[in-house]
Amino acid sequence: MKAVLALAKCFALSSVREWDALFWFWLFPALLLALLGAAFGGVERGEMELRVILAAAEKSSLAQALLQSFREMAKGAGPSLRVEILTGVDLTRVRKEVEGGEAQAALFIPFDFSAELLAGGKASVQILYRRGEAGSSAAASFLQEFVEEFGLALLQGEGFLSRKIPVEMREVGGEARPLRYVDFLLPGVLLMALFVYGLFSVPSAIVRAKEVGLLKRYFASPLSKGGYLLGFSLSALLVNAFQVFLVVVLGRLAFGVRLPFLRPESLGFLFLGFAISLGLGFLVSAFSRTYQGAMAWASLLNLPLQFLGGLYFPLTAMPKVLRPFMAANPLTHLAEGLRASLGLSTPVYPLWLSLLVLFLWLCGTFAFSACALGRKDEGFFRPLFCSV
Amino acid sequence: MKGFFALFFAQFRILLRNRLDLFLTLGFPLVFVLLFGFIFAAPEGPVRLGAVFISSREPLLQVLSEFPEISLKEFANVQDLESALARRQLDFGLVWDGESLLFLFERSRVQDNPTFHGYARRIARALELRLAGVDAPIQAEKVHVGKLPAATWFHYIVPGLMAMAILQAGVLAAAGRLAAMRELRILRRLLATPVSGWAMLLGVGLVRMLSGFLSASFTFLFASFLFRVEFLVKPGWLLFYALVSALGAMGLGAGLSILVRKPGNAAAAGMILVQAMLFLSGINIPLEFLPVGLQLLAKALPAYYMAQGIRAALGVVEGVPANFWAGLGFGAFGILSLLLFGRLLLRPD
Repeated sequence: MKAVLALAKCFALSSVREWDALFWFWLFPALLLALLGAAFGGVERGEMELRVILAAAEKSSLAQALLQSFREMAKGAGPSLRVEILTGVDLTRVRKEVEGGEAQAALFIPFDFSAELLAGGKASVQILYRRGEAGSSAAASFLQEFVEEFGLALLQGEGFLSRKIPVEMREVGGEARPLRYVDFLLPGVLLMALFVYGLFSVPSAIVRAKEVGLLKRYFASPLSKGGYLLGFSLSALLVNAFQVFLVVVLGRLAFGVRLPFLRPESLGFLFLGFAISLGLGFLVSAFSRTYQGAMAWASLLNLPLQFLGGLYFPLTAMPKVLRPFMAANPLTHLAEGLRASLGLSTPVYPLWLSLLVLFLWLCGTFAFSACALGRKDEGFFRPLFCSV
Repeated sequence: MKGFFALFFAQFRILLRNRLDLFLTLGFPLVFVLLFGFIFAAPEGPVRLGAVFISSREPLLQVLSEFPEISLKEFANVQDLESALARRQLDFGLVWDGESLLFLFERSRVQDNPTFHGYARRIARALELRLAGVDAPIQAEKVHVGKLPAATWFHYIVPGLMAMAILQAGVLAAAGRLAAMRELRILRRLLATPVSGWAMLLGVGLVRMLSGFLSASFTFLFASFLFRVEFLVKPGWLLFYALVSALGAMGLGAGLSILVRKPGNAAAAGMILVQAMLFLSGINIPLEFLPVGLQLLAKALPAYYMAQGIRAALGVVEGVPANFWAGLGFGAFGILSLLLFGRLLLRPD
């Protein structure tokens, strides 16, 4: 047991002594939370700064009223809008401004706008934007809503609208409490930290030790293979517990996130996340002969599993072709389960199905790795502890 | 010259034999393009609205017919609607009792809900007009004025990924490869041969530069062929931005390996720098989404201008002089750094 603890201490210390380990396993989760939280949290609070142009070809009082009322409305708008009003300009100039990226979007009121409106016909305006660009699309949607609102107000003023329909908006799913993006993000970042540590740190240590013949020396000592694995797992548990603690503290202090992580089911999902990541790390180690090979396998698994696991964004809008991958992805079930246990959402998959998928991954990764342990050939399932 | 070619081909063979490098050159672009392509380039599905009609459904059905992007599913009661919505089988819900409208949203869809709120407000306004028997007096027509006729967020991501591939290869050429050669004591042996220091630097640097260009080209080709994404390529500008990005990044890498003496740490520091630039340069996250302070920081980073330059070279955005000058400055910085630090990079220990 003494040797196991010494080994655990050695692995844990090495993860704070190496620059890349220090960055990827300790700093990166905190940075990711801070950056995504600041970026999308700002969008959520309407702190996105957009420049829009309100341009009118004509100088009629109606057009001026439209422009001025928009300026007033923009003050209380969701995104922070910097409004520039231009009158007596043509479409080409406005188009050039949006095309060149100087403005995110523009509302253009044509020459015959007020004449059409006063004649009782339908007046039309143009909203110029760059499709595909997030800021531009947001600004264009805002302008469109504003035009509709202005039209409605115009009809109300003239007494054309019989009644105002009461509208109520309510949220469902999870536990009834306000939810911000950073609340949604934090469990995802925790799982990412566990996942990246397991996937990269485990193969990095084992395969490197295999490459330089260190494992051979370990096993020349009284340390058993089981003891080596136990020491490794203990160090991973220790490092992961610190990672979780750090990210939770950062979330609480920097963003005011207060989530009930001490609920047994939340701790259970976090532990499952740790165990599956460790299993994946052992599996990659078993597959790889060289350090470079191991890192290539880990990178190949890392990106799709993370992106298609709903760690950072809800995956509801994903195309159908990706849904089977998402359903088989352990991170999807871990993220769904953890968020549900924290009362953030109602899981898409039934609990039994999520647990079954996670159980299969857990057993599968450890069984394959254990299988590889017993084989001595240099085939595809290379022994995990095949010393060089 | 003979020494340079020998070193160049040897480095090229090493690149092809190193699985990690090969994966970073070929596999990464494919994985990124597949992921982002499926997410951002695939045609958008309909917005799924669930509705419970307690009163006459006709006025609302007429209103919803004005929204072709919305697909409607009716539910018998509010409980069923809430349950389907909570399990994200729907995007948002609506209950109409003839007097008032109740809109339901799923709590955890924090990023999508503002869009669905917008739909809800538009439906409510359209219903008011329908019930009053009048039409909207002002029609707003949305006109796309971007350079490409069909633009999605994927069009913006592809040039960004190309820029990052080149920058990463450049930074890691000096900070990674040369440092590794020093660590493995290969550099010491090479310096004992008649091959000149510059031949060595160029031999290693050009192969890494080539791997960056290959990675960027694969990103472009995969995106074009797999997702039929079209760009208006300006080859001259593309070459210019690719070259200055690679040179500047190699200069950054050279500076890093001078600052960080331990070889393994220099590579790690290079990777950290690349990741920081990736997040802060508007490549993955639109710049408008970042807080003002971070936007300013992004605009101080070369990666932002290189990504914008390549976007302009692919016809996604309008080219602006700032990109050109930043590119020129970055390239000049790279050459200057290599000239200044070249000798230090080739120190044997």
